[in-house]
Amino acid sequence: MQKVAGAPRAAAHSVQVCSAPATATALTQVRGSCGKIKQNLTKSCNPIDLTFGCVGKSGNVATNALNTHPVSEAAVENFLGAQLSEVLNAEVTSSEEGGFSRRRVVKGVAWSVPVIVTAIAAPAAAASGVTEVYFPVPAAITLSGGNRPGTGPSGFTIKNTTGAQVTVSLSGSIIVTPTNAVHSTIAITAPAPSIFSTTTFNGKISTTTFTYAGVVPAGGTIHVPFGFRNTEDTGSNKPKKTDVDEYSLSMVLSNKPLSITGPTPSSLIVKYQV
Amino acid sequence: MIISSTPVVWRHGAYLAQVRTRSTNRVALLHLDASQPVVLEGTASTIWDLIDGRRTEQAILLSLQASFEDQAGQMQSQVEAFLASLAAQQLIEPAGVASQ
Repeated sequence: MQKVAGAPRAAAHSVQVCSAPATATALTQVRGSCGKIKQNLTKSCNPIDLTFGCVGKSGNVATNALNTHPVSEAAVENFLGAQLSEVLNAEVTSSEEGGFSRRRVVKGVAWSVPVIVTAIAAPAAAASGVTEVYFPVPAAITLSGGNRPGTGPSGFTIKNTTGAQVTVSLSGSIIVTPTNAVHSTIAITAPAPSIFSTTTFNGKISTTTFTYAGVVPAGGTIHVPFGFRNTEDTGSNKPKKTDVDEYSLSMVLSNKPLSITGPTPSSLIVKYQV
Repeated sequence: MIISSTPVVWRHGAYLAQVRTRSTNRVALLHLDASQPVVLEGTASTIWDLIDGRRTEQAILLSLQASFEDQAGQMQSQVEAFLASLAAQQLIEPAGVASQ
């Protein structure tokens, strides 16, 4: 008799089975109850001892585990059936002695949710076709700094002209440039959480940076709103009620998919009649 | 132990290409009408192996319950949902309804 080295990791139960291939009934009994296995299978001639992890109940490891005989791998495979063996091999402890592999079968593999994994990621915007970014037609606005009325775009719009959902990642800046003798500097403002970060001024020219990421449905649009805040001149340059300041609004995209076309400049007008 | 009473038998889809690696228990599937393949790993791959056109859902579940420790008790619903997902993607199809 050859004893197998190595202590089992889980509760085990020693049983005797016939060396002939096991039947489906025997396999079911293995899964169901260790005690039943022993009662039903010890009648067999030419017995072979196997040690199995006790399914569904604890066993006395110290007593049962070492009372074993070596068996061939073929016998184990016949007894368990190829299917069960395949599943359980991940938790089987093998010990190589005398050129054979002895396995204990234990129910201890943690269950995890089965999922279907998509092998290839959805195409990004760059490969999806054309997407447009544009300023909507100027409409009535109120500049928050001086509570002045005017007209200008309410934000910028991203339009997906393709037939598939597009993930857009844009960064760049919006530049407000006077086109006449103006009396205010204009900064872009936006509701929180804002995609706009810093505004820098060069004379009366303002540059506001932004970063935007979002998903645009197939054939749909996303509007990114913003507003304006004006800081008016004082003293002799203080605006008069008859003054009308005009600005050009442009966008420079520093990071965009190649398929995205940037907006044509828009206009911003500030009136001081109130 | 809760076992579904629906004796549905599933088999692999007829219009399917599959590649598998035994060492990592992973199988890649591509339905001929699909634009991209999917991959099954771990328990998903094990269930795939148990879908043979002969086992009922109950038999598949019994095999899994004998092999895995499901402490959360979610196995049955998760397996049913997984099989439904496979069927929705035409990766499996009913082989028939077993007599009770």
